[in-house]
Amino acid sequence: MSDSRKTIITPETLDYLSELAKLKLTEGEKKTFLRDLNRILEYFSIIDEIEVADVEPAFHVLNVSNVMREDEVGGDSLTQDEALANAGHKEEGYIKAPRMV
Amino acid sequence: MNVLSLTAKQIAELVLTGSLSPVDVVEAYLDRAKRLNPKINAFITIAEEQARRSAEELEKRLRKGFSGKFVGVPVAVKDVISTKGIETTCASRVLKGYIPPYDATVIRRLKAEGAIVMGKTNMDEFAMGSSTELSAYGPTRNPWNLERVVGGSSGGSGASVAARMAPIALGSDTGGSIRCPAAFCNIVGLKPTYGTVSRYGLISYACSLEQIGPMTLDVDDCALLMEVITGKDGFDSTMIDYKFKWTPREVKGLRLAVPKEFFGEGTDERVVDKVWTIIKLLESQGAVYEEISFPLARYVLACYYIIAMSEASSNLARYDGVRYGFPCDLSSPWYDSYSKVRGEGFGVEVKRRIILGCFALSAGYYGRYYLKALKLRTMIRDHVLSILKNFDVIVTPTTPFPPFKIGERIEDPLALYMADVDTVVANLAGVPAISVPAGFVDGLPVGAQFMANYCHEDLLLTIAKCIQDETKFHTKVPEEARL
Repeated sequence: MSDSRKTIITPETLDYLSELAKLKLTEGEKKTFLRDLNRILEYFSIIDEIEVADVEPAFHVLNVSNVMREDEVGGDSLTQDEALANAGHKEEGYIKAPRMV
Repeated sequence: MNVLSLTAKQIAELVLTGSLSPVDVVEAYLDRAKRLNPKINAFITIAEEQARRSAEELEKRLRKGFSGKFVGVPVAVKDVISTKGIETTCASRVLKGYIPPYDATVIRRLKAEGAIVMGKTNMDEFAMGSSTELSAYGPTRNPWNLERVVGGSSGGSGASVAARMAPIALGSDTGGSIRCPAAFCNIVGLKPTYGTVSRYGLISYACSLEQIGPMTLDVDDCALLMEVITGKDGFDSTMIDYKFKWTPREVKGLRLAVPKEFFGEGTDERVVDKVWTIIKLLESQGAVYEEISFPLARYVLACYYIIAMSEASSNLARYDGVRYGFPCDLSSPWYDSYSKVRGEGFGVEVKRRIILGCFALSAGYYGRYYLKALKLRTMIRDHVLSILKNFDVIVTPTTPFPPFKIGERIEDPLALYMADVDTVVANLAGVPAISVPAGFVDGLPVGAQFMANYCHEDLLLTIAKCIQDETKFHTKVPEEARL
């Protein structure tokens, strides 16, 4: 990229982001992503033209508020077998996950 | 009588009077789908056994007096909607082999009306795309021209209806994913008001934007499908209390806003011509139009993509290979195992969006991208609502260009994102929007889009019905789908 101001995502930033996102990228992907992501961000910078200081953010378009209920098991839950059916690794009615610590 | 030429409404009527048997209907569509799918690739899964079994059970229930709006009607379902006992992959390697243990609410409601799930349709992986080329199962081909894209991301649903492989289909629309393939396939596609159709069982990509909606050959089927799928659901807390109902009326006196920015630079002149022909047609029926300005048009795509990617990076964190999907490696530490599952399981566009979303949400950039996009969203929504104070609907092309060639835009993500420039506004504002067949450019279909205020789907269908009756575009059949 000729204009260094447009290079927001450097190879180091990309490594950091892929670590945050838990996404192992191949060398080929890293190369095309560096090009694509910077081009897309350059396009996104169009929003810098607009002044929004006094505007409230719209996290949601409708005025919905939290819906609360008692913390009880509903009548129509999955059985243990159904809940485990799609897990790749399981043992004695539990899902097996990789080592956490 | 050829059952494949009937609408869903006609099928249900004939089944209820005993003139058609659900088993015969299902067999006809299964046969058709199996024959055309190698060419068009509309379906990822044709649920042959389940559909047959459902049809047989339905025959028994009919003998006991069962009735419903969709009795015996096969429905093609986008592979992002959970179907109990039928593989649901989101067109991703990461979910290959996943068999949901429950039905999405929309599926439960359709089944209660006697509909039969006949298969799961192809799509851009996790609904991220505008052409249905970004599927782990290969691109869907447009029945109007097999060298062309079908639009996305609900492209398989669009193609299945256009090629008469299913009478009706469900799609999902996050930034235009129902309307774009509807336009490219010459069918009707509606994105309902946000919060009116339950998202329970819809595999999430960007929760604040996406809605499930109907894709049908004609307006009456669209209305019927809306009657069944709308309505509050205890499993989705983001819903509003609304049940769709439509009494057809005249378009006389309806006020149309035509925002000139959506007809200008970057939009194919032939598409502009077709949409103006539709506007003039509505005028001849008594509607009035006025050209207006939508100065924020320039920012809608950036605003949409920043929000969608940010929500995607959070929603897609759940694919770690532990509870479902591509199984993780138990011998490595968790972070290596997860990174490997996700690196191998996701396709390139999904990874691109997760990484950009992570970036837009990261410390130092949150305010510049995500928060700013949310504030822009407020401005865009308020602007749409201010227009709709003075007008009944806003008219634009559905897409800025006709269906493009397969492979033509795939190497350039920005060029692909441009396909959504006319449709994302409705998702950002949460208002309903419909794509209606607007004619053909070099034999390729294009669509006209109409947006209305919250819960004014009835106005959209009234306009669509008028266009349909006057143009009869919906009766045209692609060469590949001649019966």
